[in-house]
Amino acid sequence: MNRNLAVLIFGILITLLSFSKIEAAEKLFINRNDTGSKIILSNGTAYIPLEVVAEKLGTYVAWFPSSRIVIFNGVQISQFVRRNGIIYASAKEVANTFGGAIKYNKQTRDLYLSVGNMPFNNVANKSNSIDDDLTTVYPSSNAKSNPKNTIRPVGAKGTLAEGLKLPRNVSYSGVPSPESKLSTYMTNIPAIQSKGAFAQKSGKNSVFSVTVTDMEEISVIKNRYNASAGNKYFVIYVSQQNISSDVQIYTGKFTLSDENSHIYDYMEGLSNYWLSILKPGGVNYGYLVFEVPKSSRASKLILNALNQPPLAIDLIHG
Amino acid sequence: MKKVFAFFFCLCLLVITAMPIFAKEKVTIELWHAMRGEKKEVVDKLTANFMKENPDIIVNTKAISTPDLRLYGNNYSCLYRQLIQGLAEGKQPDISQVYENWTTQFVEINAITPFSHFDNTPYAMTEADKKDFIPLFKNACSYNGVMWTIPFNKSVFVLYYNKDILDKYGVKVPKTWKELKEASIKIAQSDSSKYGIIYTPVVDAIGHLIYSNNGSFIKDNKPTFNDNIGVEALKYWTELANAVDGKAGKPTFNSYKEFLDGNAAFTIETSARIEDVKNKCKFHSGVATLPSGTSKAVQCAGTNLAIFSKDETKKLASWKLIKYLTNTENNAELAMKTGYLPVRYSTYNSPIYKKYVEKFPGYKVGMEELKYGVTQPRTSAWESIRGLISDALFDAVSNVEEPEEALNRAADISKDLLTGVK
Repeated sequence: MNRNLAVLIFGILITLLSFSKIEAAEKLFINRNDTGSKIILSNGTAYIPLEVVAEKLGTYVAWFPSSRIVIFNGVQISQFVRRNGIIYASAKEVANTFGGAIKYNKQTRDLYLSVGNMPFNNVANKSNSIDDDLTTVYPSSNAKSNPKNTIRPVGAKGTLAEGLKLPRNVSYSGVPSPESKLSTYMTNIPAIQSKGAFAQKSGKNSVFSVTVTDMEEISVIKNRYNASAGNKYFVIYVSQQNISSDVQIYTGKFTLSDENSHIYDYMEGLSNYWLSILKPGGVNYGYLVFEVPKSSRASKLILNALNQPPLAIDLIHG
Repeated sequence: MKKVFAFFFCLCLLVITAMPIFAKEKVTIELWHAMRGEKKEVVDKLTANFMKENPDIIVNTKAISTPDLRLYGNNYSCLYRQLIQGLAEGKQPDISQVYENWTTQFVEINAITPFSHFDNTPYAMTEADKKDFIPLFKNACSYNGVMWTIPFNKSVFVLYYNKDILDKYGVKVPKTWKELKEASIKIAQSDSSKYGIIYTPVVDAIGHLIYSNNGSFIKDNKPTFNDNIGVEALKYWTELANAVDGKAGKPTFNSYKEFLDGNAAFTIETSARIEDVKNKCKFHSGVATLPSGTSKAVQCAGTNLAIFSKDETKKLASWKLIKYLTNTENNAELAMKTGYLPVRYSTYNSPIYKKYVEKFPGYKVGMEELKYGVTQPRTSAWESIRGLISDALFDAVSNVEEPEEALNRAADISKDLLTGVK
């Protein structure tokens, strides 16, 4: 009996020790310093906590909750996860914002982020074997880091991108940054019009009243649908009301016109605007996704319905 | 001689002038559907047989398909768009596949004809015929007690599994959602090259858990999918997505192909995939009923047939075709060739179908699930709300948003849609 008990206790101890080893692993080091924070590994991608990185590097992170946009070091992050209120971003994307490098220790599963020319030798403290265990994850040996990418400290000067409107409901982390200063950090962001910042625009004819409630630009939809090379997506949030006294069976098709009068069809498979038969007074809501060249600026949303002249909503002037 | 000639001349004249009276004029009807591959072939074959048996009716079938999923949506969304555009222009088909929530709108604007329209004709649906339809499907086709559509290609969601993986790691086929989660985690922990469960991150995934825990998407025209049951349902998938480095539960729009490639132990798809799974998998596959929660409930999928004709002759011709396509013999043909479920008891009990079911035990699973069958909401706004819930699911399993926050956001917009789309 006593022997069995000893075996049981020994087993429990071994189990606890094993778990404690797992708990201790997967740490984030920045420039050889243990940040005390963990990383997340998911589907072969390492995610690192942005707030911690921002604090250590002297830059900032901004989170736009309504549009779910993350800005780190002046760059919009496309691959990120939120867990328990903490934003984790792809380590590779983070490093790329300032030309940093990443190494990974397969044995301990620790991740090492370096800024600029900080060497990796002697990381994790003098152990000969650990340094050998590190694998360079990013950049690859033949890749050249972008020399233009640097840390953008708080207060860095820049020009507010044309058309950029400061969104409401922005939360900041890292180095404290007053809202009035945010624009100075966002020089690399091409005219993001974020949810909450957009002044809604409307138009109507004798049958429909159409309101664009919001508009944003993104490059990836659902982590799967990347815009083609040189393109981006416009996401336009729209409501459409039947203001006539007749039932409208087919409520028409929306197209987007850019400043050069190029017309684009919306991508039905990526949008959520399900056509609905609208009785008098009936309203439909949803969002339309358009794929346009990166240089394009949305100019007009046009509704082409049956037996009516096109109804155009001016997206720039309202 | 002259008299004989005159007699035959008059006779010929009479025959020629009388011919149009006796000759039956042909009627042409159009059937729109969104089926592809073998499913389309069966529809083509059955309509060809129908025309042989009914030489006075010509059926033109139009298979709506999308050349680009991103640009035009899936085949069924294309079908819906073309249907309502056709209706507005007076160019609608005579018959089309329709989902229940589409039907709600078509009934409201009198765009389709109920089958009671033929009650006083020799082609009326008999009481025995009505009772022959499986109640779950028949009820989904009925509005205020009137049957507006006929169940056609119906299926239910089932659990497909990779038997080789389960056997290798000593995992039993899960009977509850809890067991499915544990099994998925165990497999992901045991084999880093395999996923536990792989699934399409759309509304149906939440629906499996909501319905099997006595919840609902919408009640009294208000969203309920963000209540405790809905949030727990979404947490289930979020927890799986975060377990074992994302290997325990993988949400992907490529889930079906990845399962066929042998990358995961489980996937959830409709029973209409059964032939595909059976024939294309290079591993031993199995089919099981969906796991249970606090109760057992299984969502139905698939469409029904509706008559859009405005012309009485075409209405009758359309009704004859629908009766033909869904009679016992042809319903069995469709079911055996495609994996769709029989929509009639007489089909299920027919010797030919019973013989077919004996070939592979998985064929029985869908029919066994029918007693637990539920249908998603039929409200007009459901299609848009489906999209909102799917977006919420995706955001939560991608860890971009907390489950409760994501569902609340979708519910807020759904409230407007439920009152606004009228």
